Amino acid sequence: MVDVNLYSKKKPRLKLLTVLILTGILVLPVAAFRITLWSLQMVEFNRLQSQYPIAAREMQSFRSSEFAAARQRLDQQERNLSAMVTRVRAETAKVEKDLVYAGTVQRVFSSFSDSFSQTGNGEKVFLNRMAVSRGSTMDMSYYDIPFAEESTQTLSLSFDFHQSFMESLLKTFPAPDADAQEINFLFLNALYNQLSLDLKGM
Amino acid sequence: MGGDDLQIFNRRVLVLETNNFVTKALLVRIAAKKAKILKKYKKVHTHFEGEWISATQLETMKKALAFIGTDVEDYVVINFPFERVISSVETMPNLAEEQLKNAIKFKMSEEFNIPVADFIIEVAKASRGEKPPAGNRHLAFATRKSSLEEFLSKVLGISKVPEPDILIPDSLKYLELFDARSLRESGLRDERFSFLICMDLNYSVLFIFKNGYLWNLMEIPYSLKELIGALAEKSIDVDEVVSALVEGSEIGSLSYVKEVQPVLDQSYQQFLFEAEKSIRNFLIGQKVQNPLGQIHSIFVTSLNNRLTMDLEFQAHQMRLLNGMRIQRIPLKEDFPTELDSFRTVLGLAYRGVRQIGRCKFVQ
Repeated sequence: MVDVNLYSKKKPRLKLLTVLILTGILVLPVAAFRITLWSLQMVEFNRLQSQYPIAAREMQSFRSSEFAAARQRLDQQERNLSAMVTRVRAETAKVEKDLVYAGTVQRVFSSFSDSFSQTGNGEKVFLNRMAVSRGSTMDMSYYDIPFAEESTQTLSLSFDFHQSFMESLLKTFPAPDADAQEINFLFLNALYNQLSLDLKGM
Repeated sequence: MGGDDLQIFNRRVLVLETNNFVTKALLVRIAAKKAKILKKYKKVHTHFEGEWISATQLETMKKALAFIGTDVEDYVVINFPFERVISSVETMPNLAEEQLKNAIKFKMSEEFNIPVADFIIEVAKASRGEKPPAGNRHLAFATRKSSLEEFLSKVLGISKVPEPDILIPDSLKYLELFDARSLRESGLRDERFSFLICMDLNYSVLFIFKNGYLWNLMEIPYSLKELIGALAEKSIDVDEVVSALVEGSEIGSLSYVKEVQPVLDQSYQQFLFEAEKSIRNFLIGQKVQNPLGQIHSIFVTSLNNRLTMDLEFQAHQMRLLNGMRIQRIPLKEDFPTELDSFRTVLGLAYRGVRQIGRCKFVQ
């Protein structure tokens, strides 16, 4: 028939229970979604567990609460490892340099030794000075004194050691700084050689 | 929750009907589109000294609520004394709801010489699911703001009644009882007028229908209050008679029936005479030829079936409106007949239940 209401000022009021039920109704879909998601995760986990049993044992022993700490540990270890790699890389470069340097110096000595072995029967070699300044130069000076010919008792003018040594050095040092001077005095014929080898970059 | 909102949380309707003579209360539970009466309360109280809300009435309401038990989520329906309500039919151009309300408020304020600030009006709207009447006639109900505030302060403050969701002019409870579909089929939608003569304890009212809608309503200046006053002058137990009237009991069972019956008959005749005067005055006011030919149906109703039948009998006896046939207005199909003595408060219950949803009363 007709609707008439002389008082329409009433404000809606709800009981606590109703509010709780209403909240429950609102929360229910979210909870259902989470449960569904969790169920799907479990199904997938079980599938993986049956497929990879060894990995599954590790996964089971892993607790999610330890994840943050484990991650922190891993991060720290990664930083340490990175620093170590940098150090090792620097050390390797240094060792490489040392090896090159050692090889170079050794070749100088080998050349010196080989040349002396080849020509030592007819010549005397006096090593006057040898100074190695790493990363800078290798300075040496020596006297090459050939023996007199026994048959003729004449002075020999051939400095075989010096020639052999310099030839050998040229293979390693293309442009050695050498200052060779002959000394002739009475029955002495000698060669004084001042040699400076560039070791820069080694 | 005065509007249509949040009614999904209302699962109980608390109904309270009060007047100077009787207080009734019902608690209705609604579930699965079924309304079931859980508790009912009724108490006759005739001792008052002319106040429009007596102290006894307020005390009885308090007891009723203590018996019924209230809940904060109850949908509360209370009747507002019809004596403090004025109604008017106003013709207005097409306006928005609020503008229409204000326009009618100003017009009625002038007509009744009541300051606008002290005036509360409500324009009758068609019930949910029903078409509003065509045209620009608007039936409005109004009361003084001071009356409403006094009523609410007493009822809410003293009787501790919960704040009402619906405060309905008392007379409209009768309209809720009737089966609108049967009425339409019986020709209520006729171009002619149909009249419902309604006798209550504190007032009597004449509902006028046309084209299937409530066209107007008029107060009939005779009610059961006058009958009770007449009985009080005799040395009989007024409470007992009022109880019998409210319950719809056989008056003949009372020991002093010989004294009571003539008073009853005289009162009913006087009431029907006043009703006929009102109908005739209304029809004369319509300025139509052959006024009685404009009547489609006459219905009579009252507090219960017993009183209704007594009034119908008297109407036939006195040949109301030249012996026009008095028709029996059909009650709703789900009306619980065993609760006929609660008929009026059930009208309020129907109003509350209707607001919440389409529900059927079950036993």
